[in-house]
Amino acid sequence: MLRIACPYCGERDQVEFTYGGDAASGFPALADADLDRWTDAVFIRDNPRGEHRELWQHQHGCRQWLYVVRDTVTHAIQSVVPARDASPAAGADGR
Amino acid sequence: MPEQRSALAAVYRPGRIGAPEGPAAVILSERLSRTLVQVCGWRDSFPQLCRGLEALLSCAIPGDGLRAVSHAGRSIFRVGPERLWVAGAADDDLLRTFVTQAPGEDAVVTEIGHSRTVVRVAGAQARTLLNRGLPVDLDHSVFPVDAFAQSVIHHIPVLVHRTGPEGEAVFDVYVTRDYAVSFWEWLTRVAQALGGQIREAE
Amino acid sequence: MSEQTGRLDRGGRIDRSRPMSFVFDGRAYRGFFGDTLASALLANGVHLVGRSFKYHRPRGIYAAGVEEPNALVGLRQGGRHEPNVVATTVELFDGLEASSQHRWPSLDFDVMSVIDRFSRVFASGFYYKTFMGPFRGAWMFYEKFIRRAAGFGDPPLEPDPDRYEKGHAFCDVLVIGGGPSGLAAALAAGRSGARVVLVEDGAELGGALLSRPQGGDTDAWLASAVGELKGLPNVRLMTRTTVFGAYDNLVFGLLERVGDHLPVPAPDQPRQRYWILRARQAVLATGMLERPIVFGNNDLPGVMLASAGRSYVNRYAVIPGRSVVVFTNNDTAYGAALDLKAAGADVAVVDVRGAIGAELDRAVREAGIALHAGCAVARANGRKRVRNVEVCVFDAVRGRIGATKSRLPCDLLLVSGGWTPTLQLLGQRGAPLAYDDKRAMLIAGAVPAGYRVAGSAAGEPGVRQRVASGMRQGGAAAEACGYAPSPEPGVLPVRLPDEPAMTGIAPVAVIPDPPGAGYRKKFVDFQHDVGYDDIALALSEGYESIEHLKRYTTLGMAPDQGKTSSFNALAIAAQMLGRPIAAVGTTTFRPPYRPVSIGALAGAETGLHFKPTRRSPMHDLHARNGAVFITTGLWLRPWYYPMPGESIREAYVREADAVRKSVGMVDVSSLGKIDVQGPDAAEFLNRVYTNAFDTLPVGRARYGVMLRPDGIVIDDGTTSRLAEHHYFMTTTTAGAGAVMTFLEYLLQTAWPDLKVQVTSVTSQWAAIAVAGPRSRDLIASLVRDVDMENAAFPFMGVRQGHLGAIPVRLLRISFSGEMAYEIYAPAGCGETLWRAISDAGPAFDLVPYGIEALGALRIEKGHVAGAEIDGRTTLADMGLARMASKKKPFIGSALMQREGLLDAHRPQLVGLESASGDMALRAGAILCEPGRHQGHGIGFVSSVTYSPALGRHVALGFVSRGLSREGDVIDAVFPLRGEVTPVRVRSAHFVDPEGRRLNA
Repeated sequence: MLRIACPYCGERDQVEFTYGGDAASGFPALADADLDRWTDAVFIRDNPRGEHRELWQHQHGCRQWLYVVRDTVTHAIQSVVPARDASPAAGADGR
Repeated sequence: MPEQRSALAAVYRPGRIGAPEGPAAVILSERLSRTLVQVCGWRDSFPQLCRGLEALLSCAIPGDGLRAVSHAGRSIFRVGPERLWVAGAADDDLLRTFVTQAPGEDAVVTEIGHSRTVVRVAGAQARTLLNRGLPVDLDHSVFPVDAFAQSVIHHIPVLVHRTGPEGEAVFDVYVTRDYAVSFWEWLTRVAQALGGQIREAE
Repeated sequence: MSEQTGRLDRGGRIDRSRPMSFVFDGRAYRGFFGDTLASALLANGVHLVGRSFKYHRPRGIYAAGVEEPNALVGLRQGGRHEPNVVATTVELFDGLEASSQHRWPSLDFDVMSVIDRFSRVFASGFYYKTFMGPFRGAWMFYEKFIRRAAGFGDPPLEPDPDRYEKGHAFCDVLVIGGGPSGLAAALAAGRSGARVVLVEDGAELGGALLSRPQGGDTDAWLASAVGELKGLPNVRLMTRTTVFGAYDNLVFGLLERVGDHLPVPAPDQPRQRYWILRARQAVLATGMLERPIVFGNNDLPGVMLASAGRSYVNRYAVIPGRSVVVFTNNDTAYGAALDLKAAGADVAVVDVRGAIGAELDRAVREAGIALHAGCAVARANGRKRVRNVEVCVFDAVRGRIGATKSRLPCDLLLVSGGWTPTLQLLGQRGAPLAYDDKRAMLIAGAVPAGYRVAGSAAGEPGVRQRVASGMRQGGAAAEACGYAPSPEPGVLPVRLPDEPAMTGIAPVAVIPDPPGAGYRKKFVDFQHDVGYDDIALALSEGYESIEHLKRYTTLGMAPDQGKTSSFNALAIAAQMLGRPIAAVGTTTFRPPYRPVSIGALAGAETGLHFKPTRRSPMHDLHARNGAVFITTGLWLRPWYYPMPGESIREAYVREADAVRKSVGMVDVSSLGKIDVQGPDAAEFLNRVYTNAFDTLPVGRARYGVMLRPDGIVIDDGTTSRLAEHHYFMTTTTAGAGAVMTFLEYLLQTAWPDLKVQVTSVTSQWAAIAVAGPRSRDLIASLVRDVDMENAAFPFMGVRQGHLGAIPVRLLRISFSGEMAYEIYAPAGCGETLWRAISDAGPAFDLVPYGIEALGALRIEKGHVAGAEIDGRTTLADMGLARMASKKKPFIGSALMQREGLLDAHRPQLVGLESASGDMALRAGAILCEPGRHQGHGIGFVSSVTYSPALGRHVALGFVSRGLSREGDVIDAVFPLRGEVTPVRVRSAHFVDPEGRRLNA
């Protein structure tokens, strides 16, 4: 079971959180009607061994969406920041 | 407004639970008709809104999601980054005016008092009882008076607030109203094993 | 009742003043408080306690602790019956009832033991080889016989009457194991002020010290260490508790056996408690387990681990045999030899090594123990108990055996093949183990962050070293949590005795058959009946990877998870493959370390409490009014309100009829309600709904549909504009949570610049829908401060006012197709609101209705609900294409243009009714062209009802190109029941398609 350090509520059990999917691809602009870009954003996912950017919601806590960088091999969580502070396309660390 | 009916009305029975004698390890009681108002703001102007609230409520506004501020019968929780809950007594007129007259230009107010049932859990084994379901560390060293946590007990969303006095284990549990009976059934069932008492609702 | 022939007069840690009687296989016996079931059986001379799983061979008690592979029993009766209980871990209580397993008709005479004669047929891979390929059909025939003979124990057939609890715990330092190193670690950490939890599997603290002679030199240390720990308020001692799982982030699963040592749990107390514990540091002081040596007939009753022999004689004052042979490859077994000799047994030692240390040699001679050095026990003889052992000359270096030199008569053979540190919990974390040649044991390779290993689990040889390592690791763990080391770090309560080091070992795991002596089965995994030959066979067939070997032979896969067998299997495989042990590797460890009952994992989440129940603010009133409830998601909602003697059908038809003819009221409090506020609220709703909301005037409501980003409909509902920057959104009951989460997702990830606050107010508002031609008159009679006239308060209007003293929001919206209003009031006023409307009702022929009638009304009207919004359908599929704004983009507007979603052949929402006579239709039926009942057909039936308005059965469904097929007759096929019903396609709007009633 993961323990996730919520930036607002402190370190909490995984049961309070809901996994919200891959965060690597950002949300295209709504006015962008390009099917390929939307298809990439909605359907196409990497499956990395190691560092993975993902979204979690602290559903039973502050209800904030969080941008989490987690290792898919060790499950070690490298960083947790509020999703609104993470640039959707680039990620929390600006890469 | 007519009297607010407790969600526990049909199941609330004061008296002993579990061991019929001896000191009650846990004491349960409902806190009726609490006023609860949510005040939200925007990222850029929230500090200003908080300063206004500080003046209105004559106390500090909490800066994080770990500690509440309790003052003059009210408790203020920062439940999200720009989101506050202000809980007060049933007859807290000042709080009630917030709903009709927002306490600040950029304040977004939502009345949510009816959406929560407040159950007080006290006694020597209060922590043991809550931790049968609550995955949050309630030890004094990390959960002092006025600490609070939004979490989940038996799949039920709760906000647990440690109230005073210092040195005693007293917790107010804010339970989403439609789960209140289920929560109460869980709570009293677990309390049975510890031995306790249900007091008259206050 | 027989005498306790194996009980010593003195000594042991049992309480002779508290005799206990118990029953095993129908026979009554006596034991004492402090016994285990196993020690009490041995005290009564009972060695044969079960038959083996596969070959039904007689088996005896092999160990004294959790590693026991043989002595599995059925405990208790009825709903409390538990199979496969390890007798060596069962604390004896008065009135205990246990029975042996895997035998019929009796333990002594078992019919199935004939299988043993054919054991070579039932070797590894028996099932794969016999029942696959051309002989697969044979399985059908043999299955019932095999099922009867196989399986571990008998499950209880009645519900478990006991209760189980969960608990959440937190600490700085978790110490796992209450032996000398664990106690020392807890002391060191506890003294520094850290919050410590010490978990001990057994009922008593002390670990291996409890198996030393009572009153001996370590007892004083134990008493003072435990005494000091009990005095530390920051240290919590949990006995009868097993750490069975080590998970991510130093989270541990614990099982506390609260009432298992009692006949039934104490009143109101759980039987077991499942703890989830989060630690900041963990010290594994989990000890080590002795391992067997593999030789012919090594599974005979009367063969036992040397450490178990020592434990029985010292801890339980039971002498498991009078004539004892100790067979060892290492020094530690001599402790057992000396203690049994001191207890009065006749003892001989067979040691594979040519010579032993001088000090040990002197002790053995002084005690009068015969030593056969450079020899091995090649096989044990006897039928249901060992009678003698064959001793051969043995070259431990080359593994060569000579002919039988002598037969030593005995009634107990103690075996020691060395020790294996208990590191399963580290293994569960994926930590590698390393083979230590010198000590012939697997020790921790890399230790994961936050973990430490102390004492014998770290391979420390003697009590003093173990305690010192516990002190060191416990102190370091506390320091890692930020606590200053205690001022007296290494100071022990009582000085421990000096002991000779007992570390010598010759790494021998298996004794070959002596030349010309014939074949005897040699067991590696007793519990799964896996032998030396099975490993050889698997390797010869190419299963060389240790993981493949495990699965092919099932070695280590029994409930004991290979506690006594895994290492030996590894050593034997390495030897057969000619590789070093380190190169063979180990199998993966997974939780649980010991079996955990399902009841404990479920805790209170059983029956009606499996999930919590959500109740409307008017729930109690509905119950008093005789409502029959139904579960929808977590909600308990009124299904229908039967009059005396009414069936559900009669009740909902009457209720729906009243809505069409006069007026009905229904509790819709479970609808999701979301408060949307902020200067960008209109823009936000424009983006999430397919239709426009910025153009909605204040005081009006609008039906809205939301799509997922992939263009599929997620939910629908009505949203009202209460003020310029304030909207009140409703969602479906089932969609409430998902919609809220989705809105938050969009605001926080995609559009953090929008100034919008969303708050779930589902629980804040009670909601009642009042529907029917007389609804306006009814409400107008109650609400004085709102002009209810049609012109002043038209369809889709929103007003705020008072009903009596209750502040209410009135929405003129309709789900039934009738003129209708939804009335929202603060939840605590819900009952008063319902009662006020209901009291005024008789004058208007008001009838309360439940969700069965609600469903019938909406199907008649052709309104979609959860059965249609099923996560696969688009706006166009449901005939809602006009809901998609062309003036603005919205979530899903791009991907709803995907080719597949625009396909003209997609199933479209239609109404359906039986084409010949009035037949009930079935939801889920497949729609096919007449007579062409193939594949997925051309659509399906989604919702069905009997329509009170039409007086016949109707349905909603999806049909390929359905809108162009009105009037066509197709087949509704329900293969599960072999039904085919011709149905006619028609408009989904069965009732009032023009909407005149709504706007009246």
